Amino acid sequence: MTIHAVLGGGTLAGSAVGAHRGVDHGALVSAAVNADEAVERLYLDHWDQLVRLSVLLVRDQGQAEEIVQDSFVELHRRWSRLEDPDRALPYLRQTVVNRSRSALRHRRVVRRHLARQHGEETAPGADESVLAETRRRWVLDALQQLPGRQREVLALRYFLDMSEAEIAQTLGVSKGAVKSHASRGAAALRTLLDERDPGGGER
Amino acid sequence: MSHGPDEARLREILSDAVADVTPQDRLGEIRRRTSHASRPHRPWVLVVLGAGTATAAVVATGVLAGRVGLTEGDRADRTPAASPAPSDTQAAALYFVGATPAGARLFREFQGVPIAADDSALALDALQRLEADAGPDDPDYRTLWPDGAFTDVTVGDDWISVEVSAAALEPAADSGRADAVLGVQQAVYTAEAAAGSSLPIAFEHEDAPVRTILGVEVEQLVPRMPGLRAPVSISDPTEGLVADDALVARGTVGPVADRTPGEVSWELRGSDGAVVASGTAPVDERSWDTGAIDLSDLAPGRYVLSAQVTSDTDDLVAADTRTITVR
Repeated sequence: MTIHAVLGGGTLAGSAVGAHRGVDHGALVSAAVNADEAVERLYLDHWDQLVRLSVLLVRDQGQAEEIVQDSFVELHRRWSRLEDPDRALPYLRQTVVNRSRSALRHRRVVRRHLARQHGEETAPGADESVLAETRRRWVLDALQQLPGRQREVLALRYFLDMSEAEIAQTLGVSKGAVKSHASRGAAALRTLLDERDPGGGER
Repeated sequence: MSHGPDEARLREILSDAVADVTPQDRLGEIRRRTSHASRPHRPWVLVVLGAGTATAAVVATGVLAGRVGLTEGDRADRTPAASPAPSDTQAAALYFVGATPAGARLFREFQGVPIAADDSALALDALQRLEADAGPDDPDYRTLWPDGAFTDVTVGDDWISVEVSAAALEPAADSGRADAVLGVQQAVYTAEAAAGSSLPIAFEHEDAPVRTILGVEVEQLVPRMPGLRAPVSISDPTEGLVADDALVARGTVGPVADRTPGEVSWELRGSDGAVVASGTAPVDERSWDTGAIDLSDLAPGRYVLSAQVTSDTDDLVAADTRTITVR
């Protein structure tokens, strides 16, 4: 067992945690001298993508923006406690997923209340033209019907293109569980979309 | 969709579903909310764990040590090393049900969880690990909570609100009332540990208090029921730990016939059942620690560590085990 304690300085060689594909965001964030600058850089690079991720999870854009905004504020608050600036983006993603999960519960309560007041939403007719907007709504609706973990795994896997290992770390579950949620989620999503679009509406 | 979405199709579907989402700019709002919160920059402290594995003697990082919420009765215990322990995780104390000669009791197991935003998020994560689709790492333990049981947690000043699904209201299959009581206490002990304080639990469903959990009636505020801890419990090593040349085992003891045992007997057995090392560990304020156990002469392979406490009459009272791999 070897423990190296690297004190001070911005050099973070050897950190294997938090590696991710694409742009080397970690290096950019590492170079940031303080929380304000780091948060601003992360905002510029990831704000849109994180809001879209949250929309996939909670459906509502306004709420998604609130969730991601709160997550950035939370990151800023905890900045000095992060052990490694490379962890900032994974931390943000994790916070967005956790807060989205929590927000969903409250929205479900409201939705149940509204459903009781106004009756269930009428399903669109089978002959309704499959406009892009409708199709998008179907997908978001279908995602909302999946169990939370399945929805989260699908969004992280196929929207953020994260690996199984990264998802496992983000959600705190095993890689086997990620695989299982992804497989069950994909099958359930297919079934739900087929029910909406029984004609097999390939676009 | 009739042939099902393959991976490329799933990427396309999900990307398309939010393609028309154009988020409003909120950087100004974020700056406003964080402008008074800037703290002086502190040097980074990075702890790199070698070779991707850890012996049980790994010193917990500050994050691990600082975030394990231990209730009053647990404070004497030490944070175990997660196995392996990347720097972005914290340890959560989870309580599962295991058998003892005196009946089913709660055993504590530490699992590494992603660093949570706050105590409420940590408690929710910890409780969701009690659900059947997550569950204990140790195959000797079991859980009473069904999949999807826990949906939200709020750690308040006076109690912890735990929102549960409808499935959590029903009795677990093949379990009686005593089991259900233990199941409820699994959640109480786990939530308290995550919150780091001895607060009662208010179970809720659809934002209303519930009076029946796992088929058993509960009070509106459910306190920790004392005396349910197993007589001996291994906190460290974690199940399946890969060790190199040394191991330190630690754990806690519970009361045995109203007396706290003075020592814990431990032994390490190879896959053929032969004892390769053994000893006793003194109990200090309900905690015990074997000191370093030398593994350097052992052949690589799987070994079972057991810790047991005995009563005054030398009848075996209880044991806890962990399987480890020496490489």
